[in-house]
Amino acid sequence: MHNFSEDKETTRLNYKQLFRKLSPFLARRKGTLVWVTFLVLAAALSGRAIPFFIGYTIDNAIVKKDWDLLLYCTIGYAVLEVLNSVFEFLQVYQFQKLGNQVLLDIRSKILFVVQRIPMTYFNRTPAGRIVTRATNDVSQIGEIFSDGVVKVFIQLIVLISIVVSMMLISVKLTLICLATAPLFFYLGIKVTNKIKETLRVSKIATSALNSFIAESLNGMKIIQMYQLSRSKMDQFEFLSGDLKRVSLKSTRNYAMMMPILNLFNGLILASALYFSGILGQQDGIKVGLVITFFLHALDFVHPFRDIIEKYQQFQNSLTSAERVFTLLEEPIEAGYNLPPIPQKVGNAIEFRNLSFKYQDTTTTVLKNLSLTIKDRQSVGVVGRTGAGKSTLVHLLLNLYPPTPNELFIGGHAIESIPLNQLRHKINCVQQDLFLFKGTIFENLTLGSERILDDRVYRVAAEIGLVDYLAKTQRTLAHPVEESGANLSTGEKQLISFARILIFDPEIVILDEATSNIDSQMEQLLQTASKKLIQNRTSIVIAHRLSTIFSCDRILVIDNGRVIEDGSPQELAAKDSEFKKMLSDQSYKDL
Amino acid sequence: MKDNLLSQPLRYFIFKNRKSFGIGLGLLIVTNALDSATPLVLKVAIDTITAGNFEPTELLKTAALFFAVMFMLAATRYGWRIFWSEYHTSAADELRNRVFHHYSQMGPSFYTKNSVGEMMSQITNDVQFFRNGIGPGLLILIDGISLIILIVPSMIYLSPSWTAKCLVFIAIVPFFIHAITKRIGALSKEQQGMLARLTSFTQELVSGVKIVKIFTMESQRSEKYQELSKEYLDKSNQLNRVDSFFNPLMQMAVATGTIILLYIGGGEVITGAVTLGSFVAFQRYINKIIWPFSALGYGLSQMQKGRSAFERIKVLLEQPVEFPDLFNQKQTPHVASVESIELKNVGFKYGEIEVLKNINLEIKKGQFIGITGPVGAGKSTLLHLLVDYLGNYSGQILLNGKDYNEYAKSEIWKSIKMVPQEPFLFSSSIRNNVILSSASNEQQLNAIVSMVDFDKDMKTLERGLETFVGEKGVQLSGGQKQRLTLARGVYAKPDVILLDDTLSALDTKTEANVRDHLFKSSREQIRVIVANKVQSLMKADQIVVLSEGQIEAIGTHEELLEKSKFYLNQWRLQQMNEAGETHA
Repeated sequence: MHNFSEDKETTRLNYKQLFRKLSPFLARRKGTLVWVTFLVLAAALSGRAIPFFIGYTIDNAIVKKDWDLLLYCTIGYAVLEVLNSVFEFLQVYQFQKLGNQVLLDIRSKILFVVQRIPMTYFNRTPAGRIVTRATNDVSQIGEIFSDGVVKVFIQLIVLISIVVSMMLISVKLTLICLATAPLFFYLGIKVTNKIKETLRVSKIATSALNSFIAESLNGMKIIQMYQLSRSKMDQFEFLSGDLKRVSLKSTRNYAMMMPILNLFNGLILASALYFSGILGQQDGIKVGLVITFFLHALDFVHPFRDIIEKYQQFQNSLTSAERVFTLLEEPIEAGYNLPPIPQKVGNAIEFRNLSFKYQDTTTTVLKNLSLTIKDRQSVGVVGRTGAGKSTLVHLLLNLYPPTPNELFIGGHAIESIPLNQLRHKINCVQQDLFLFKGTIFENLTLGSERILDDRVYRVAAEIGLVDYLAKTQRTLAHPVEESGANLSTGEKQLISFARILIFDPEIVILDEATSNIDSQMEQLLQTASKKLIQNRTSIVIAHRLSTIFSCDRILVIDNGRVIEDGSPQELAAKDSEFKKMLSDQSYKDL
Repeated sequence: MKDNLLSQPLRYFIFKNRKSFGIGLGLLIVTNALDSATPLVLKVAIDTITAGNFEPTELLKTAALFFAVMFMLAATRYGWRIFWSEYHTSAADELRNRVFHHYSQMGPSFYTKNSVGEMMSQITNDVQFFRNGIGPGLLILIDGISLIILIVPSMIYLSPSWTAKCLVFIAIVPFFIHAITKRIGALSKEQQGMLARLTSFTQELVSGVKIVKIFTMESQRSEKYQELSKEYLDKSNQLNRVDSFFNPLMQMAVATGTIILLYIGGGEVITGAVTLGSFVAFQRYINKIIWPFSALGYGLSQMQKGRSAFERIKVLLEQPVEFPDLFNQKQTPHVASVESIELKNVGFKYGEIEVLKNINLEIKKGQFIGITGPVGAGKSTLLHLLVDYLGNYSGQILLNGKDYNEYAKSEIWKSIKMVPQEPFLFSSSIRNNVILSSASNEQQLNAIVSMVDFDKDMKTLERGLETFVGEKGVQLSGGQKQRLTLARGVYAKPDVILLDDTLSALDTKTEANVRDHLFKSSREQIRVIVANKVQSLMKADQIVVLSEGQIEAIGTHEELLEKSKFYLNQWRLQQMNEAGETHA
């Protein structure tokens, strides 16, 4: 659904600033810009040549009864018309093509930025809004090229060419005919503003009605059972009636525009007729030239109208442009631009008196955590929900930056490690299992080219994924629907495990999800997770105690602190929290 | 009236809005007449000028006439727009109301078959298409036809032979228009499809951004996106090419007419057979005749679209409503209080699948009934039958000894309230969501809010009970929504309250709270609770264990520990898990 709350945003961006922001995108297309400008001029000039040519034909061929010249003129006229049409076509098309290219560049830039801005941005911005930026808002900017400022610019050139042409015939006549232009321009702008306002109001009325309908359809069961049908029907009739009123009002405003322009047109043409006739008599302007003047005057109103209408109407594209550029200017994660660091042997992890909170306002999640995890040690982390287990994952992958000099990996402070290096070294299975639309195979390689197909099949076979799929006549080529909707949680988990094994990171974090899985899947997952922590520095955040028992060391975390630390056997022997948990959990023998 | 709308919608709406339709139509024709007259006035002026030696007042009169015609034109053009839009806007409003009225009376079999998106599209897009068809579409058609009827005779009046020669090619225009519009339509559909692909790619990327970062897929995703964007770009350019072709083509049509005119007409002006004024006026007519010819194509395709949109709406409106007595109260027995509900040999099929069979159950006033069973056993279906939401069941359900069918739906729903599995809140205040249309009883409301443990959530909400939730307000979590939905059901104090697995989403403490409340609540109320947690059901008077649509066992907690293997297993498993959950 639409994001209705954004309807009323006003913008601080003006056209000048907009073009400054757009200029880097346009600068890349200088050649096209020159070409397009030439086309605009060519179209305007050829357009003006036609009335002159008709006047010439009348005065020299028709009035002077020159048959041969009439034939040549007819051919000449045809050539002019064809040329003009070709220029018109090319001009419009080239502008749109330019616009499309610029949009593509903007879209790619957005995608570049979106992938690199910090996770905190995603927490405070609804996903729908980010998507709207990259799609609808960018398309709105496109209107600048097809319909907005560009059109005003083109029509301004056309308008100037018309006025100049008229003046070439008679300055006096031109001034008389266009005397009322400022008045009508003023009226036109007034009406446009009114239209804009009613348009805004009717947009609000439409979205109010639409969201009411959507809500009612979603909640129809409740509406019926809780006997709200009648009152909802009344509300609907009210909203629908409101939309009707508003849209009639906006029609009234729209309908004002044409008559005003008709009036103006009538005034121009009537005065052109009268005064050119009189002047013709006085100054000896020939009849063909009078007609030429009249034809120019006829063309005046169309660009005049476009300018009035488009000049302000495209506030929308400004608002969108502002949103898009605000997103483009978001700072990206610092770690993307770091120089590479030398790879050291050993992958110990050290927390030095680390404290962490997600935002300044929220509570501290980890408190003065000091801890060293040795190279190739596997550490199980247990604790209640909210104890800070998942925060460990976020920090180790630098998804959320810790305070400098509090977290070290392989002897390097985490903030000094370039993100691509860090994330090649450390990887994790997340609790929220995310799969991309595509095939299972594509979800295993994630499109990475450094992974050989062989390896994918071997690993998938090793952890039993291939056999498991084969049971239901599936292969690795089986399609995966959006967010893995056609796979069970267990399957998704197994695929995520396989993926990590294929990527083969030196440090692995396992943030398991608890779910209802059948015993066979459970078996597969257990084997896979054992394989995963073998020979790797690993942190296992587990809900199944069985997984934990294969770890070298256990940390019990409570309230952001480590309250117990030792091997599972040690902890189990003492009178510990860990032991309490063991005695409660009757599936320790799983 | 009702059937007229469905069988002859155009006639129905025209008749209903005959005044605005008639006046609009009249003004449109006057407008077109005035518009077609302008070239003739121009002819007079030019002939005067060409002749030379005229009195200025003579030309002034003609120029003034020209202006007067344009002035009137302005007025009538304003007029028809206003009246005409009154007609089709009212029609759209009425049709929209009809559709919503129909939706309001549809039940589960309709709502499971149709997605909200489809329904939204019917009541918005289809109604809009219909409106465009009977409004602007019809208008353009009439506009075109009346202009042709007015302009062609004027052209013939100026010169029959020119008319014949110039119009021959103009007759091709509508075909061109038709072909190009069709191509544009097809291309923009393809383009929309590609835009949708771009959008869903971005959507996926944003929701999976963590994975993208963790697996350093940034560049690879960008490349993939670039590919999709490139395809979209090519399609857009293709569309724009055809699109940009349109205006120059129209211009060339006029030009071709003018070229023919120049060649054949110029000669006749030279010989003096025709005046220069007629020549110029004729050229203006060539200019003006292009639109009406293309209008025929536009108008017809708009009306076509409107027609097929209406066909879809008609299919909807012709479907019988599932709850016909929601708006028309029929005289039925009144339910003062629910004394008993009895299911006699009840069965229910969903399509070919038998969801419930041979259900026999009697529930008496004040009883607390639990329902449990494995996934797909038919628990939720049974609740929906109890609240008389599903039609087409076999067997009989009796309320106070009388068949459900004897009561109006509103009578049953007044007394029996269900709290469904999936929470639903209106975009309104929290208060309104709980009390709905009933009067607000502050004390009771507060008690219920704290019972569902919403007190702690209220602390984070600045405006408390008045906090606006939903689309334009605060977004609540699934659990919060579930608890408010539950509060709503309890607040209504129905004779019978049915909870469809509502408790499972609550944490242990809140669940115990609610359970306590329900247990202690007046012994007047019938409570039926579907749950998987045995703890929620332990204190029930009767617990029904469903399995594959049948009652496997029925009894108290202790009895079932003996009688039902499923129940016993559940009980054991959950006790273990509970212990684990508090620590892990």
